[in-house]
Amino acid sequence: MKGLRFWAVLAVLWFPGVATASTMNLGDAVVAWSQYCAPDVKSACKGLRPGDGAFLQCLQQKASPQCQTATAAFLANMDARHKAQASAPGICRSSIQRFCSNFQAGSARILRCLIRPETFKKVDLSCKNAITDAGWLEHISQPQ
Amino acid sequence: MSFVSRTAAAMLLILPLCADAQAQTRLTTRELTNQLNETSGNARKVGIDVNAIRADIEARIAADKTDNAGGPPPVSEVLKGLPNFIVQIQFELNSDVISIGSWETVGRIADAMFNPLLAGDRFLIVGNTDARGKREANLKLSERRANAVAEMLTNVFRVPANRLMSIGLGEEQLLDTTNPDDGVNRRVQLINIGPV
Repeated sequence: MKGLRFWAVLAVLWFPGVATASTMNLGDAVVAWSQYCAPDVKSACKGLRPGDGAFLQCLQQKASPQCQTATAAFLANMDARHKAQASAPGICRSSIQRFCSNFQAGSARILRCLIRPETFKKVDLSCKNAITDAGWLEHISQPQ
Repeated sequence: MSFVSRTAAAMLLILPLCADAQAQTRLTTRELTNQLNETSGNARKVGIDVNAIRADIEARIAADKTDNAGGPPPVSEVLKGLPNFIVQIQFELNSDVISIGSWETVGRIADAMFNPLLAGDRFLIVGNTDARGKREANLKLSERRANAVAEMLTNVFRVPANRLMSIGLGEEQLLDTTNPDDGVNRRVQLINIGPV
């Protein structure tokens, strides 16, 4: 099980963009990361806040190879999500014009229009993929 | 009784039963998203003056000269009734380092904040301690811990910093006032403070 997860994380790093849903949600991604880094977090990098830049530096310098690989995979997943979220508005422009032009911009209103099931089934494939990679679809397709 | 106060009452009953780490890992993004959004009819843009709230608490502590907080919670009335969620996040002893066992919880919170239902909103992260130890020390520790949660959300999970505010209330707003030393009081509250 642990091995499977490890390969799943690696797959995100090695095959970005191959599968349509190539990013993991952040909760699952951080669980996978922490499984491989727990010993290092509790010893070599003890006492550092995970949000502190020094923590990441410590892992990259002192952690086990498994933890370093898992750290790279976690960061790659974060990058992929961030990139998908940033590029979605441009990729979805024509769908937004067709289906959501009457929604005022701001406060994620246009996004909520796009992911309504009746709208989402009509948007073009590239927009569908962008929204999926951005993680915005999860609450309608994979309730958790 | 409003929905929020009913929810809070229900949580008083439920939390002691599920305070162990295992139960905490079952926190789901869906629960977080729904509850932080549920009363969105009440959600509105709320101005929070963190410095004023801190100064108010410090003045109370200085005036009371007692080791346990008494009197009404200091948080302004305006926060009451806003969509909120209570989570347990474990920290290292007397430190603002979030334990690795609670990383998942912070990740689920980030997922909820990126959810389209909440993606346009700002959140106040409120740190609370139990009543053990000095009030001043608890105030400072809870503030550092609330800041650490915001820091992890921003720097690890890339939630934009302009969507987060953090504040520590120390032991001034106990969840269980009849058992002030109980661990149930050590908690982080997320409050939806309306559109960015």
